[in-house]
Amino acid sequence: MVSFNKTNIILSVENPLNISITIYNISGDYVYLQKPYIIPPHDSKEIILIVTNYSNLINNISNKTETLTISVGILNTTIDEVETL
Amino acid sequence: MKYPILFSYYIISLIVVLIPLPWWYYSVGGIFQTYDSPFQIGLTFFGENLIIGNILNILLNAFRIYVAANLIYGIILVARNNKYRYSTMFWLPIFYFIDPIIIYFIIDYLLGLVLHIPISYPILIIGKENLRIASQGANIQMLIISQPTILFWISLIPTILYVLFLIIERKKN
Repeated sequence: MVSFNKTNIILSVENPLNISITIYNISGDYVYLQKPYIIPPHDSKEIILIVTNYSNLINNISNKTETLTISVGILNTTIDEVETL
Repeated sequence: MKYPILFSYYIISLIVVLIPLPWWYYSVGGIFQTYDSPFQIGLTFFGENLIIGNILNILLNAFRIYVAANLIYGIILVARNNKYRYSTMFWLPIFYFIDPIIIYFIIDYLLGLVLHIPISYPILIIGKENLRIASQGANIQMLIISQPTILFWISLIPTILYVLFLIIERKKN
């Protein structure tokens, strides 16, 4: 994590592979990804998550009820994962 | 010449064997890709060449030389009106249709039904199809691509010629 404020969260994502990775979406009840990002091979990129409701998000995180759906693509493979913060 | 069809079977087979190009392309979500023929193989994993492919290539090229030597022997004998049969080149393309069915049964039945790994592997010989794996909150979708190259269709010519030869021989008797 790079920075965190009331309107957005900036994360740094590193790609250790020889092929590029696409981050299609990261979304939760009160956050979503600004746009899909393509991370080139052996590179890192800062991605921006938009926060729609800061106090509800903090509430959810402290109650451990904030779940994020992460969708990542590598070549012809798509991985969808649900994580609880 | 007593056996012109058998003779052309040997000639075309020899040409197919000596062309150093793959017969088939197979990809699992782009992560694992292979270009192969019975005489050579190229394997990539996450975009990197696998060394095992190079080792297999040595063995497969030895098989290429072995088959080519047999075919040349066949050409000489048939040219001398000998009914010499060597059916390897008849069988090899057929295995490419049987292999995906074997893979389907192994993955779907063994992993899915016997070991209870949630996987749905599509039955597919030529084309594109999605493979889905669900485990521990993650859903993985992989596009399976299985495609023959032009050389594969050419390799079917000896198969057809060999069948023709067998039919003609049966009619003679």
